[in-house]
Amino acid sequence: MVSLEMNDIQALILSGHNHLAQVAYYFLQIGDRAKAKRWLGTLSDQIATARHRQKDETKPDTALHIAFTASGLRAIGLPEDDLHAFQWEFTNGMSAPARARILGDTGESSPDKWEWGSPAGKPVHVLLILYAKDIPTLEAACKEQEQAFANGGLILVAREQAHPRTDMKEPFGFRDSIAQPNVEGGHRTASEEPPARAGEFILGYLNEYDFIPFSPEVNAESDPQGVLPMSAAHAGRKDLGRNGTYVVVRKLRQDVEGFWKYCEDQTRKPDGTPDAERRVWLASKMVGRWPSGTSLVQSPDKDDSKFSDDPRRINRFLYMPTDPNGFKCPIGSHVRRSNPRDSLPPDSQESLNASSHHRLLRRGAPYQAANAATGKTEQGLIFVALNADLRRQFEFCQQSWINDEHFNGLYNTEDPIAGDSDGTSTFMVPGPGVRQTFTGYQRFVHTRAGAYFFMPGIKALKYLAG
Amino acid sequence: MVQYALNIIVPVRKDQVAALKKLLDSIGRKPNSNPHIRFVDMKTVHFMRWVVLDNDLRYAPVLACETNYDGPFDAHIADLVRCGAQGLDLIYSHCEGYPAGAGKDAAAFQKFVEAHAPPTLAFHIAYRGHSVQNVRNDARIRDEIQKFLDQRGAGSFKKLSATQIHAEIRKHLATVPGLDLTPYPDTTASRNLKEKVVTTALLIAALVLLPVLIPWAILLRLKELHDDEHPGKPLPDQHLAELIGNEDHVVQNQLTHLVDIKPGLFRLVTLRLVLWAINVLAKYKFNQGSLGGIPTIHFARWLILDNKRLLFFSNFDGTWENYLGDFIDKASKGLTGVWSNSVGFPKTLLLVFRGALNEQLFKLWTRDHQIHTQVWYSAHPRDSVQNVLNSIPIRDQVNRNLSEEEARAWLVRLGL
Repeated sequence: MVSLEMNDIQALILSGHNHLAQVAYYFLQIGDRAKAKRWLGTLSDQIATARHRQKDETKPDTALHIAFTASGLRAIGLPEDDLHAFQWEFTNGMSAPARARILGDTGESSPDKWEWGSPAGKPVHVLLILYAKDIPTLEAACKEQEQAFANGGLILVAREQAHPRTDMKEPFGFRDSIAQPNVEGGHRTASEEPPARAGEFILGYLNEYDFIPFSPEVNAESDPQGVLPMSAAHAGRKDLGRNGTYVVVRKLRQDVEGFWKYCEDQTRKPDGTPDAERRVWLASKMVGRWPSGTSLVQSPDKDDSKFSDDPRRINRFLYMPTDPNGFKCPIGSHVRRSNPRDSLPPDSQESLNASSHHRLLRRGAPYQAANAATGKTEQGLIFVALNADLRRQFEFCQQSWINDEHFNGLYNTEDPIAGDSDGTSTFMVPGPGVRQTFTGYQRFVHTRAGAYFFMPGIKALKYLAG
Repeated sequence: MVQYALNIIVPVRKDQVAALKKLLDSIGRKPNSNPHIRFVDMKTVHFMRWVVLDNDLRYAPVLACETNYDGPFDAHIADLVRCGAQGLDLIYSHCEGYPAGAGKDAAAFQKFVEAHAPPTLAFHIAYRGHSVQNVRNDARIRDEIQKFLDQRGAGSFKKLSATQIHAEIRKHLATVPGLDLTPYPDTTASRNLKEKVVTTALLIAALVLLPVLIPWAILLRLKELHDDEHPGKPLPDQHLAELIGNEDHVVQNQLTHLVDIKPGLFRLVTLRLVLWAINVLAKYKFNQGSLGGIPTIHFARWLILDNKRLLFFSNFDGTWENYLGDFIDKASKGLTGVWSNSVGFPKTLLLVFRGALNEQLFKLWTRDHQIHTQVWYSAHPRDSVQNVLNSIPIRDQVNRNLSEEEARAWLVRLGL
């Protein structure tokens, strides 16, 4: 079993802070490098580490995390050459044209229309994440941090606030964050799933291929105080990436009204009145789980919370033994493609192996806010995903599983929930006899903002603070 | 009908490299509407590309062309000349030894091609024996059926058995003009026989090589211990930006990859032997869709340039990342067996082990030797390999009499 350097790892990698019900995200611009370095130096002692989470029996009321964009690392003083050692996808940035195509951020979701993170907007350098147990605690903590970063010369670009719902559902009304990988060497959870190798989510440890992921390094001379660990891969180099991870943050607006209206219109009774049961049936076919979280392969005909209520059963299923053709859970549905388990060619074993190379730790939460332009209440997800390899994990899932209309033998079906459907897709619902098709829908999830961040280990933070 | 791989490798006149690349880039930006080559009128071509190989200053620049075509050869040449005449003249006027006006004369062009056509050493075809016309026809049949089912509505078939639904669909298709609905001839028996023959052939080859196997393995291991692998240094932004800017515009993607073979006869002979074995396997064993378990490669080939460099062309579905992931997860031994004989490949153990399993280094090495392809054309850009292979039995069984069970399985194919 791998031994993780808990006191250098930000706690968020190993824990979703489930006991902390409120979360605020600050997107900041560095105004003054020297001041920002001093601010970071002080802040680095306040960051919640995995060690805290492990030791604390009385769980803390707040937790603080920090991460940087590529331009943020540049702004705090990292030389261009060192920046080049980070993943290209990270330095290229989420809003670059090639990335937008990969991620399906087109049309109204294209980066130039984003609220923050857009190429022309104020640059986002730093992400601060603040968790708290309740609203008053959050407000107090926020006030304190706002004061501190203002003193550090940081400029507020945007602020988001989110909170997990007590029923654990996302805005469309389906239970979310069920299939969450366990991290080897991390905290224990109720799930019996074998843990994923730590190197899938933390730099410096072996990954599923049994290799240590590439990690950004710096010259040893740049670290006279010896804050950073030596590089295991190259002599004379220091490891800046160790115990860090890449973080994807996306603000995803969910068109809740449009989604349910579509499902209702497609399932009306012959006399034109809505059919509540069939409406939920179609929505669940698109999602691949029932609202309770129970999988369609566990209960094909109706929702049955006896599976979702049992933490050992909710995620314990495969597709091929009982549903090779998607009669129960359509091949194109959201969950069957965002985690295909055993259902990819050429066979179950190969599929499980391949699927294990594209896992994400999801740390997001739903948001609900009045839209500044329309005044209407807007709902969605602050999507936060952690991985050691942006390309092989997050971008792969988005591009090859969610947005690929030819996924797993299909002809013309993007993910009906999270995909970039442009109105020309056909959602196939296979069954014995003639399949049913659903067309004429556009994407229900819209990208409103986003950026790639790197969440360094504590030592790396101290190195960056100088 | 048999598909073939044609290579045309021609030296580019030194002062013409930039002009040629500019011309090809202009064609490549809009292959279907460019004024020089009427790709869409071609009847014999599945995939085709032109790429200038000039990234390594130690070698004279060459223009490489690959076509994946339906035979016979002379009909293919006539097809190229028919749809390309002036364009071929324009392109090859930048090259050495091109007889002026050959693009308008099939015989002259054929002679030129034959003088510059190094052999393909290993060739993979996902849908062996299926012509461009068949692929397009079968896709249309599948689309027609979907349209018919949607017009009638799934509900209207509820009370019918699978064979009754099949009969309704057949009746409808008979009224649609221009579809070829004849069933395909059954080739299972000859395929099985070929597979047996090939297994025997490979076994005999292995027996013949047995006496040299142990000395060869010792020599190989010694070399492996001293070979350098790619240093893992990040690639220039510009190189990645050019390659990635070119990718993911359609369902399919392409890869051109060129790398030095490790010096010495040992590696060259080993490589040729591995490619021979892969070619035999590709032809007789993995000949129904997948290359060693990878279900997304339409056509792929390896050839050797001047006994020095290994050139790889691939036409595949989906993303580069998915493709390379499949290489590693499903076919790492075979591919490592090939590329371990080339410079900078991640460290291997006894030719086929490790190597590509060093995932990040393997991907970095691949990108490092990947070349920007100027012109790339696909005759059926909206069909994935899995689509093509699914549409074949859909068409095949329209005019067969199916049992209830067979008809149900046939209907499942329409649910994708």
